[in-house]
Amino acid sequence: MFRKKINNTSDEKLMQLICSGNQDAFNELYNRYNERLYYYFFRMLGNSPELANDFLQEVFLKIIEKPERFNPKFPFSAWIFTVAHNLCKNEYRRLNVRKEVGHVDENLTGEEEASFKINKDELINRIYESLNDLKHEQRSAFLLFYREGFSINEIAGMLELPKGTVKSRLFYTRKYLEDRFEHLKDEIEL
Amino acid sequence: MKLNFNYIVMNSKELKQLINDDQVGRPDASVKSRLDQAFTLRSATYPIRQNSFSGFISWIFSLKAFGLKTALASLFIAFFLFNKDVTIAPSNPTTLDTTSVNQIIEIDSSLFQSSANIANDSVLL
Repeated sequence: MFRKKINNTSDEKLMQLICSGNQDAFNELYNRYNERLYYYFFRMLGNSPELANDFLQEVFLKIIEKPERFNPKFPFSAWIFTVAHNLCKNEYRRLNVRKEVGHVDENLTGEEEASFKINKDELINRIYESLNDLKHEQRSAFLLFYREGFSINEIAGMLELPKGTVKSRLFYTRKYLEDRFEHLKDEIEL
Repeated sequence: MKLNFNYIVMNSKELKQLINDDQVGRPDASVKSRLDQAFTLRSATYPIRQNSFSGFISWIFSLKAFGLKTALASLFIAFFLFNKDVTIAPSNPTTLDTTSVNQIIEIDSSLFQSSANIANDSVLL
């Protein structure tokens, strides 16, 4: 009966329960967010499962250690992804990840690439590999908008940027991808 | 289905669908077990613990629902004022006190046993 009640509880209420030491509430929150955050870290940190696992643990440790830092007046999902974004930002400051992560295979010329059709998985991988060349804020905005479905307003709050900046960054990211694969005029098998 | 790449990238809906269909696997199970351990250690230091009465006690001594608490206290006092059977006056005890019962202790000869009887009692042999 209690399990059913926990399932229907909002994220914000679960955080309040965690503050009083309720482990069921913590488990429920973990179940709701672990895959979403794992995906975010995986794509933000150079497609590394090890880093994604480490950062996922770091985010939830923050919840365990200082649950009172969350303000229940604000949406939990926006707060947790802000924490995740800040962790990535710190990591980028500490390490110059952009130089270490893989890039699109530069050996392939435009003509060679255009000569074969690529499938959906390969297309996604190529998109993310290309995004590694962009600033982490752009990549973060891209993930938060297209994967997590946050609004421009929410993303602006999370990244501490004006709304217009977020909009233009999303537009330029799409434009960048279009230019990056301009030679890929051939149709893609989806 | 065949689509032009530029169409996918510049079409927000198509791009969203493409990104949402992407799967990168699940987090390691060891992450959860480490978090569970951390939670157990941390929960011992939380100010409010599960199954605690501290919430009730703090409510009792707070100014919340002051009127209700005053009314309950008044009822409690009124009960003792108007119920004559319940008294705490020492001059009028309402309970039986065995120390105040004056019972005459008489010598019961049936309890006596002579030394001869004891000696003849085969049960004691």
